[in-house]
Amino acid sequence: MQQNEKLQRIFRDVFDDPTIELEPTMTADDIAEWDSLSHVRLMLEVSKAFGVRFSASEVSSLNNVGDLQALISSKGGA
Amino acid sequence: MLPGGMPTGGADRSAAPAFQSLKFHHFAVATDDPRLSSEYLVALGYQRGANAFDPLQNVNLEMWHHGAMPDVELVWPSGTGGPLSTMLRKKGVGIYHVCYEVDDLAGTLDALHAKNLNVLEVVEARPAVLFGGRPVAFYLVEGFGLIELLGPA
Repeated sequence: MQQNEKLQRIFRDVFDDPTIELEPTMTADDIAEWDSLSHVRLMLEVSKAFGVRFSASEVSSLNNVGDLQALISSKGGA
Repeated sequence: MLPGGMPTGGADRSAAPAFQSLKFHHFAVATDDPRLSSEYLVALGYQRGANAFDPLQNVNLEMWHHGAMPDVELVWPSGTGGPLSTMLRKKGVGIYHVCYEVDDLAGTLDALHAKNLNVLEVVEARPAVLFGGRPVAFYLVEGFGLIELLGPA
């Protein structure tokens, strides 16, 4: 499964919205349920699905989906 | 293991030396009405302890002690923003995190990962304003919730 496809499945599960179509420019403003609480739950799921670990500063420094995709790639997430 | 794959528990400490120093310290309750929450604790015989404002989290903290029951930390937001306010809005008053004392924050985190637990660092290690500057870090544990690890002085 491609990275974006896997990530999109996680977003749809966490935010319980099967219509989400990820774009690199997408931010928390684009998803109603994406707040500080759901963000850490999202990152926990991403960590598990891609087999990577994140620091707290990485978790809090992401500006958009593109940043998250780049971070996963930089850690060799698969 | 119980039928259905549920672990039976038990103290298997030999496989995780980092856990041998782990001690329960307190649990925290998130509240939007500290006066009301403290009335309950006073009724149970709890006594008010130290309090502090944590500027990093923008929350107020207050410890409560009891001779026969675990310490409780009341946590309430100082403003309207932040994760604690979001949690209170979504879930209401309730247990916020469980805190454990450990000898080694990083070693304990490694031991949790070594047990194949899915753990996410939420707040990196920093001095705890309520515990004399001892290092403290927060982690989200899948299947459990938020935990706080409190390191040595």
